[in-house]
Formats: sequence, structure tokens, C-alpha cells
Amino acid sequence: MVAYRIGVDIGGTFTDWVMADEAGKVQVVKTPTTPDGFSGVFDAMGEVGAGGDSIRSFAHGTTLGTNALIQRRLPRVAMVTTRGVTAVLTQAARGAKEDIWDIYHESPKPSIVKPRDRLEVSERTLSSGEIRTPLDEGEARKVARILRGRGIRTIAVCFLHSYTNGANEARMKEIILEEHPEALVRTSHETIPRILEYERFTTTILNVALIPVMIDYLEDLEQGLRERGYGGDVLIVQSAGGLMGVEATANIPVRTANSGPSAGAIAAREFGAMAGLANVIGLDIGGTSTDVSVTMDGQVRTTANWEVEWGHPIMFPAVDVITVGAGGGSVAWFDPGGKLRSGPHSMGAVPGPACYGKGGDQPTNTDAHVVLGNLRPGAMLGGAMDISPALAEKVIREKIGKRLGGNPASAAAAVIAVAEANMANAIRLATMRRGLDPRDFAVVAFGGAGPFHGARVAAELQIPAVVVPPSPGLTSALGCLMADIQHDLEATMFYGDAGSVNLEEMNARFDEFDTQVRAALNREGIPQERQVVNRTIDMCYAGQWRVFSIPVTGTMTRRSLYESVDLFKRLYLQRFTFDLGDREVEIHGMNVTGTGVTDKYRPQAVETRSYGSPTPDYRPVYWREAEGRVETPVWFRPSLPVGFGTDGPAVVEQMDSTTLVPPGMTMRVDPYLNLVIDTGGKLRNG
Amino acid sequence: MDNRRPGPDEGPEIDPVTFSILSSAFTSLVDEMVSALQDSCLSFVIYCGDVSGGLLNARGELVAQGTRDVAVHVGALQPSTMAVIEDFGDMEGGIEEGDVYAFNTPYRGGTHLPDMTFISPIFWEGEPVAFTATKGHWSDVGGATPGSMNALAADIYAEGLIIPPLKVVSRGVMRHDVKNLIMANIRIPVNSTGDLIAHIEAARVGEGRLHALIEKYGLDTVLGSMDVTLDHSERELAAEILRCREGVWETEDFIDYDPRAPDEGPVKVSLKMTIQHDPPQVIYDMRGSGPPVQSGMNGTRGSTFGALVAGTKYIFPKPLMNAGWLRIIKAVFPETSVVNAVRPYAVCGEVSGAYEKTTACVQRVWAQVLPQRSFAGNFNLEYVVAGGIDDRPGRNNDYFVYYHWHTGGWGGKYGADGRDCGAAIFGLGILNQSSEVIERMWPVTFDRLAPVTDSMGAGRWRGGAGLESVLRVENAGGVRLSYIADRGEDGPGGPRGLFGGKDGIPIRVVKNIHTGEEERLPIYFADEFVGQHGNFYHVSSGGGGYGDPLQRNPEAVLEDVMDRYISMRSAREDYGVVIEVRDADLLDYRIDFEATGTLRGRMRAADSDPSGFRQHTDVQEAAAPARIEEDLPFTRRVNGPEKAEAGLIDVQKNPGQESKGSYSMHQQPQSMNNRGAPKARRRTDLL
Repeated sequence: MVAYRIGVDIGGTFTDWVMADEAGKVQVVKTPTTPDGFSGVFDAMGEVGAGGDSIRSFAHGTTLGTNALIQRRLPRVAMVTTRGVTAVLTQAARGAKEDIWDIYHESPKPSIVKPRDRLEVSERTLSSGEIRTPLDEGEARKVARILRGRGIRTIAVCFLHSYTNGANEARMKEIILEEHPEALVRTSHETIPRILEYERFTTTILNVALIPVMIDYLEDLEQGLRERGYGGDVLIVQSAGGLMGVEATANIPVRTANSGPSAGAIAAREFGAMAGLANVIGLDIGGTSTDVSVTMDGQVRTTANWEVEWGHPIMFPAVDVITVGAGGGSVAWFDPGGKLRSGPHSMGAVPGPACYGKGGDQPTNTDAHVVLGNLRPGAMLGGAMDISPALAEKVIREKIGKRLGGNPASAAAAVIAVAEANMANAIRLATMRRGLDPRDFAVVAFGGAGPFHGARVAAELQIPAVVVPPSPGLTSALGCLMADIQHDLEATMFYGDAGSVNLEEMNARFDEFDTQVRAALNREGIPQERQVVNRTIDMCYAGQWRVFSIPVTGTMTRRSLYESVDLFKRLYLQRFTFDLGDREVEIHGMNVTGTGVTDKYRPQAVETRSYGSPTPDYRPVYWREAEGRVETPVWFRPSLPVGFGTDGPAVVEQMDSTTLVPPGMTMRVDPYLNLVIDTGGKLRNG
Repeated sequence: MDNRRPGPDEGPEIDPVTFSILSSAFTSLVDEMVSALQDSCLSFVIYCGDVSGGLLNARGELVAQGTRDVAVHVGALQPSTMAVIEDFGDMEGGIEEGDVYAFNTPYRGGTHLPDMTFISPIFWEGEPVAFTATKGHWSDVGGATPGSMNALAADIYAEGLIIPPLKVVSRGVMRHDVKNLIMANIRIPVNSTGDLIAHIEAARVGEGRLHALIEKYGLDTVLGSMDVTLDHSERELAAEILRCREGVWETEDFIDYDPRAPDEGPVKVSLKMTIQHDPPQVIYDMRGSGPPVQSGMNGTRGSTFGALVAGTKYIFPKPLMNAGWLRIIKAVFPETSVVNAVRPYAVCGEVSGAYEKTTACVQRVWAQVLPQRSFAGNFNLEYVVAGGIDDRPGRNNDYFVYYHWHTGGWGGKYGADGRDCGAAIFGLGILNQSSEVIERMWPVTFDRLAPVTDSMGAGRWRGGAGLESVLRVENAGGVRLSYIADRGEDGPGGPRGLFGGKDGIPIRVVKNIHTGEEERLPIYFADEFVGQHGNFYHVSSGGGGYGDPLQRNPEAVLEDVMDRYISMRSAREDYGVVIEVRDADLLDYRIDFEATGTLRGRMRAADSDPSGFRQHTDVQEAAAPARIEEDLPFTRRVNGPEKAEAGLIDVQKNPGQESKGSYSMHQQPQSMNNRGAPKARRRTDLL
């Protein structure tokens, strides 16, 4: 019997579903996303005869949490907080604004917890962890009864400095549950024990709000699979690129809020690895946006500073994705000064680009591609989508050409050039703004529109190579099959130097975390030999706030702790070229990460097929590099064998995407059927 | 100068696509510099965003600013760069590749002394092409008080170290003697040294990025795009101005008083705005403003001009801000005034004082022109700065400097309430500091940090809530506190309402509240000693209201009562809404619509001016548009070859003014006048 690994990526419009067998052969299904999420998937499973007992693993990237946060489809949440300190949430985004000049741009929006539902109790913990005022239990009970009386069931307990001592928060939670047993309560220290009250409280609130939203969905999914005979684990892609089981996910659902783009970043990493590249930039371009991720030295880069809605930070690590409003449906327009601009406004799927003929009257990138001859009217989704070249040309001529002068093709080329400048800027933000040189990377271009732009955007930044995976539109779904299981725990405990740390306490806490992450991995069926557990200690110079996590191993001794402090000082010097001399180093946090190494989907290298050589069609395509139309060979991608190579200009068509190889570049097919484009850029560091 | 390169009017044709790409690249270049600075600085103030950066052309004209830069720095980078050019010659002379210049002199384009600016030239194959600048608020630059924010300073010398254009890095090599001199005058040299290095690194980032652009697009195209970027901004702003009606509007505002001469009463800041269409210009005339004060509430011409530009940018947020704006926005200043302080007048509190009043005036005059883009008065910026010895375990009795800015209420605006507890308008890129981090880094504890009921002005769209806090000193010795704000209880009032909206409350500051030794403090003070367990209490203003409160939806009034933004009393007395409380704990409130209707009817009848016009008669509109005279003192003062002479005249008129002569936003160093500048149309028409 064949055993399948299944990856499902549920997007706003389509659900992408990939099924890989043990030989690495993949079947793909694209279905419209259904409101209940999974019925479409279950139907599709039935169609291809994938019974539950033939499924080895089931991994899922979901936008449910993301969408619930964006649309604020969340339950009413109350917060219990330290008396007198009620301004934390009022100072939304810590006072900052998204658009610093436009007073009428209402961002950040206020917290989801209304001021009336922010209740105060007397208690105070200091930054040292000392409890100056124990929780006033009389007040606590009164508050709990008020919450019950108001019928609020979703409650966050958020006290100052609880990251260093959570005793008051824990007691408050007990009292609420005693008085109000139906309540769902989360404290900030159990959610994320880390300094910065606005960020920690916001994370705690968003997490507790997502629990009721996600739990039903996850249980329905699991139950649906069980009913179909599937006994294995259901794994959810986390924001940071790891997988977690349903139980762990339901406890901290806010960690899935970046699940979708995260699956794409994993795929970019793996397709890069196949091509022998440890440094890749994932360029995922869809209908409305471009998502850029960065993999360096084989690791997807993550960030602790991210958010779904501007000004509402989520403290958990997430794949560092830069998103800009540049996709197939992005609209080209002129600003009041006469400058040609592109996006972020998009025509979406309805009415869509003008060439769809559904009433769209604004010039989009897709229209420009049609005018340029990049997109053949019958090529989109294998001809399932009807496209009108006349409408595309009309909208480009009238809205762009008239202002710029010249013919519609040069106007369309300008539209694409401006959109590609935005995409290149997204890569700059993801690399240069973080001190990375894009020339050290290759681009993995995917998503329906990624292969249109990948080569030129890479060339703009002198990036030498572009990899286009075999099914660009399904790449994110494949990413679900390429991740490891990951659990992590952290604590903020001490504010002392290495000499004053209580080693016994530290080692005990490390061991406890160790046991916890291993238990979680055991529950998810990961055998001992596939469990990797890592420990780090957080340090910073006294009076400073820049924290470095220093890797440590085994039981800590005074000596190994001092060695870690030395390592911290060396890393600090490396990073800031500046030595703080004998300033004291504070040790205040510890982290344990448990990884369960999974059997990942890996496409098998394909042997060169020998049935004849492929022949191209020809059509005139406008190339901006040639400043005019060139009779260009158009290849049908499934016909291209391993080792096939050609010089640009060339167009490669397939069902879910079209790849452009501009003049001056070359393209070849690698052993995994990736297209690899050499942009002529200077390759640095190999 | 580079003679091979054509002037701006005869440059290479830049195709619109390349231009679009390069003009965004200029802004992202600046963002990259600023983020490099924030990534590697050592002081928490810079990390929290009191920074900005710029790309300037070889003439010292601002081409691009960053997207999250501090508003008060807006007008400063250009004159600061010009000061460097003036002192060190153009880049063919004294300015060399690899140099970095430090600068903070307020009168020549700095803001206040803690705002340290670092300026570097960028060369290409030996040819000068541009400058970059980054500016950050250092937590201390010496002077009489910790944190260098001394409201009572009688002159600039009491405020800290004055740095004229000073070469700290020469051809890529740090001048350690120069660096050591700076650090010897600063309280926390270790942080400042780290910040200095971060500024230098940021300059390298900017240089690398511009070099990459030149490599790809060619020098002529990059330089041409810089010029077109200015033209483009000018066109965008001109298009906005042409949509406004022509006319003249006039208003005034007041600094509460001179901290060293409280009896002399409020100090006037006056603004007359002329909008004209041919050519499209906005002319701000500040000549009605009062004389300088004998303390740090004065603004320099550079910072006041920055306030005018920033104030205008709030109305027109979209056009990219650069020297192109300066072809549209013109300003006329009085000689030596509270809005145009010259050496040796003190200026450290200018952002709370003259700057804030100027932006408030700009908002009020524009409210008459574009009411749906304007907003009522915002809370006044406050600085809380403390210094002393940290006695906590493990801190080695280090000297510490604590610098904090508070949040407060924003003015109501058309269609929406003002923001509750937002950061100050002078620096919207700034994050409020986390109280958990503050308590960890400094020996202080917050006993309270809460939005304040009824702090805002009532209105159809109310002002945002102000903030109150109690900061307690714990485990520290010799703590001295300095404070600078404005619109306090002893002044003319809080942030003003608009179109019938009410004013926000004034700021109140108290020492040792609830201790039995309570003492009300003035709105500006320096070196106030706070003992162990002593505390400092403050209430920041709420914003002014927008529109008649009687027009506010009663449901919205009820929401505000439930959220404790307003009291039941305010609901009744300010809004005429009668609310019945059934169970406050369970939020069971009802609006008595009948009683509300009766009450509102009675209040309207009692109001002799139901339209609310009484509230904004402080803005005068002239009957007919007036033309600006051709002779503007501000723009005429410094002009090419006569520069040195003009400077001498200024010195005679105003003893103590910078001997190098005054600068102007339009000033071009003499050497620049050789190349094409006279051909530029609007760039020179007021010179």
C-alpha cells in the first residue's frame, strides 16, 4: 500500500493540496476554499482515493488565525491588570503611528480590549522579581465576579514584571477560575515570560482571543481525519517555520498567525537546498502581494518583532517576511506630481484586472503582462481563465499610455518596471535593512506571478541566480511537507551577574523545560533518536537592553557560565565593533528548543528523458531590455528535460505560471526539474 | 565643482521609470542609514526613535528624508550640512572622502544641543556627489543639568557642549583627540562613544548604497534624479496648494511665560499665512512674535522653520518632503525673537516652547482653509530628565541619566476623536519607553500610569485622553530632576478646541504627592532635588475637541462614560446627555433620550453662539488676498558674494550672533553659485 504525506495550504481563494508518495512523486489538487475550511479537502481526498490509513502525515498551513486577527472576528476579551497602571494598552503601539504624517490615517487601532473591560487589582511585582504588594484577594474575587456578571469568558491576566515572577498572576488566575469556572484564562507570564509590557500584554490578549476561534476548527479537522481512518498526528505550520501538533497549537494559537507565509519560506529554503544553495531569498508573488523571506546558512530568518495588524505586536518568533502590495492585481496610477506608481491597491479577484472582462477598469500588472505578450490569453490555469487582450490594451493605453506618450507596449513595460521596483525594494528591506548583501543570495521565485518577475528583480539587485520550482503555484503547500516539529520554552529569571546566578535553580529549570519539550515530542510520536534539544541563555550588559542568546550545553557550572559570558562579549564586540570593557553582564533568561526531525518530502532527481527534443512556439514579446518586440521562443515546461538549456529571451509556460527569461540571461533545467536562471549578476561568495 | 555635469535644467532626460525607482531608492537609503544607527546605538533614547536622517545633494539641499523621522529634525539637516560646507569649503577643498563631521550649533541649523548631527560627503571616482546626515538625540551633552535639558539656562553655555562643524573622522580615520574632547564633556561617555560609532557606521551604509546606485544607473542619471526628485515634490505640493483658495489668515499662540521672568506674562508667537496661486506659494510671516526670553523656551530660525514645514506636512502628508518644498513654503522672520533666537539665547526647551506654538498656529490657520484635513490642539510635549547615582546592587554606583517623554491626548479631527495617550507630535516615529524597561534600567518605579478622565476637550469629536503618572525614586542618591513643558496651570490654558470644541486641561506637575510634603511645581524647572522615596506626579493634557459637543452622538457619549474617558458630570454638562446608571459593575447604563433632548435644547438656547464660531475667532481672515512683497528679510539676508558682509552687518545689529553670519534655508555656498543655479527658476527667485 502506498503511504502519502499530505500538505494543505488554505489561502483566501484557493486551497492547495499536495500529496507526496514515498518515491517523492507528487499529486496536486487545487480547490476553491470553502467557508467551513475542510469539506473541500475531504472531498478531494476521496476523489484521489486517499483513505485515512494510507496517510502517513498531515501538515497544514492555515490563514484562519491571520484572518481572524485582521478582521477582528474575535470574542470579547477582558484584561485584569495592576492597579494604577491602566495606560499600557491606551498607549497603543507605544504612542507611535504607522503613517507618521497623516493624522487621518487611523493606525494603530485601539486594543481589542475596551477600556471598560480593563479591570484593576492591587498587586505589585518589581523588576527584581520581588513582590512588593501581594495580590489583594478580596479585590481579585470581586473582579472575577464582575467578569462573570458581564458574561465575559475570555480573560487575560496582565501584571507588570510578571515575566520575572508570575506568582501574583498565577494566583489571580486561580481565583478567577474558582469564581468563574467557565472562563478561559491566560496569564502573561505563562504566555510569554518576557520584558516589555505593551508587547507582552498584547500577545497575551491576542492569544487568548484566538483560542476559542482556533480550537473548534482544529478539533473538527482532527475529527474529520479520524473519521476517515487517519490515526497519525495532525501538524500545523507555526509562524516561525516549525510544526506543532493540534494540542500544542490550541494552547498557543497566536503562534500560527504567520502560518501561511511561513510555509512558503520553508519551501524556498528547501528548493534552494536542492539546488545546492544555502542562502536564498524567497520571492512569493500572488494576486495582491509579494512576500519576501530570507534563508541564510540553511536557516530561515525569523524575527521577534512582527505583527499581523500594525501596532499590535506578537512576541513569538515568526519567519521574517516582508510583504508589499505588489501582485498581479496591483493597480498602476499617477500621483499628483505626475509620478507613475504601482499598488498597494489591488483589484483582487473580483472585478480583477481589466482583461478578465468582469468590470475591472484599472490598469493592473496582469493587464500589462497581456499587452507585452508575456501572458498568452489561453495560458492561465490551462485555459480555464478567459482573458481579453483588447480590454488589457485599452486600459493600458487610456490610463497609462496617454500620460507617458509612446505605444501601449512601452506603457505596459513602464507599469511592470515600477511594480518590479517595489518588489526589489521588498528584497532590500529584507536584506540590506538587516545588514545582509542580496548578492550573497539566490532568489527562489514562486507563487502564481513570481516567475514573471523573479529574473528581472534579481538582476536589479545583482543577484546571480533564480530558481523556479516545478509547480510555482503549489510551492507553499509543499513547504508544509518540508518542516520539522518544533517546541520552545523560555523563562526570565535572574537579573544578576554570572557570579550571583543560582546554578541549582537554573539547572533545575533547564531540566524541567527539557522534560516538557521531550514530552511534547513524544506525544507527537517522535522517537528519541529524532529529538534534538538545544539550550540558550540570554545575556546583556548591565544598563543596556540588547539581549544576545548564547548557546550552552548540559548542566551549567560556574566555569561554563563564565565561558558563556566571554562568548557573549566576543559576539557583542563582533556585532557592535565596540567593547564595553568590564561592565557587568547580566544573565536573565533561558530558552529550550526541542526539534523533532521529520521525514521530509524530497523530490527525487529525475533522469533525463529521451523522447525527442522539445520544440518551442514563437510569438512577439515586448522586452524592455530590447526596447521593443522580439519574436520569442515559448516553451511548454512539462516538455523540457533535465539538462535542457536556452538563452534569453525565452518564455516558459505551464498550467499555474509563466516564467520569463529576459535577453542576456540563460536558463537551464536542473535534475529536480527546477528552472535555474543565470541573470549574469556577479556571484559573490560562491 | 564638477563642471562636466550639466545643471538641473539641462541635465540628461531621466525617463519616468528610472526616476520612480531612484526616488524611492533615495528614501530607502535614508531608512537604511537610520535603522543601522538604531541597530547599533547604545543609548536607549536613539533606540526608541529620537532620530532622523537625510540624503542631500552636493549643494547641501535635502533630497530625501526617512519615512519615520522625527518631525522637529525636518528643517535642520539642510542648514546643518550647509554649515559644514561653509566652514570647510566645498568638497573640492577641505571636505575629503571618508570625512565625518559632528555638529549641533542651534543657530546655524541645529535644533537643541542634545540633537547631534553627523554629516559625511560621498564621492564617486574623486568627484563630490552628495552628503548624508544622521541626527540623534544624545541622552546628555554636558552643561549644568543631567540630560542637558535646563529650562532655566540663562544662555546657551549653561545648556551643554556647543559643537560647530567639527571633523571627527578625517579621511576614514577617527580623530581620537577630538572624540576625547567631546566625551570629556559628557556625563555618560560610554553610551555616547557607542552612539558616535553608530552614527559613523550609518554614514558608511548610506555611502555604500549610493555607490551601488551609481554603479548601476550611472552618475549622471543618479544626480539628475536627485534634481528631478526636488522638482517632483515641488509639483506635488504646488498641485495641492492650487486646490486651496487664496487668502491671508492670521493667528497667535502663547508660551506660558519666561521661566526666568514669570511676571512678564505670556510670550506671543504670531503667524500670518498667505496662500497665493501665481506662483503657488505659502508664505508664513512670523514678524508679530515676541522678543526672545531669558531661558530655554526660544526657538532658532532653523527649528521654527522646521515647525512651519512639519505643520504643513501634517496637512499634506503625501508629497515627499525635501528641498522642493522650500520653493513653495516661504517664511519671514523677525530679527532676534522668541522664534528666531540668536547666540547666546538659550534654546534647549524650544520643542516645548516656540516650536510647539508654531505648529499649533499652523494647524489653526489651515483649519480655516481645509477643515477636513485639520485637527484641534494636541497636548504639549514634556521632557522629564533626571540624573543621579544608581545605588542598586550591581550598578557600581554609576552615574545615571534618565530621559523620558510622556504621551498625551491628540486633538479631535473631522470625523474621528483624537488619539488617546499618543506620542508627541514633534516626533511621531518615536516609541514611548516601556515602564518595565525604565524600572529595570533606572532606579525609579511607577506608582501610577493611567489615562485621565475628563482631561480632553469635549467636542463632536472629542480630544484624546491625557496621561497621569507618579514616578518614584528608589535606591538612588543625589537625584536631580529637570522638567520642561508648556500649557501648564499658570498659563493661558490647555490645548485649544476647534470649531466649537472645548480646550483640553492644562498640565499639572507636583512633587511628593500623597506624602504629606506635597509641593506644586512650575511648568519649567531645573535641578529639583528628589530624595529617596520622593516622587514626581504629572498630568499631561488631553487634546482639544473638534466641533460642537452638543452634536456628538449620545451613544458615543455613553461609550466614553463606560470607558471612563469622561465622567457622568461631563456627559451632562458638556454634552447635554443624561445617563441613568443601573449597575456600573455590569455596565448597565441607559441614555435618557427624553431628558437629553430637553437638556440639549436648553443648552442650545443658552448658547448665544450655537455655531461655535466664538471658539475660533482667534483666527482672523483678511478680506482680500494680499501679495507678498518681493523683499523678504529672511531670504535676502545671505546672498552669494555678499555673504560675509551681510554676516558682519548682522553681528553689528545683534551682538552675540554667530560671527559666521546667519544661514538661510535657501543659502547656497558661494562656490555653488558658479554652476547653473541662477538658471533654476524658483530656486533663486527670492534670493
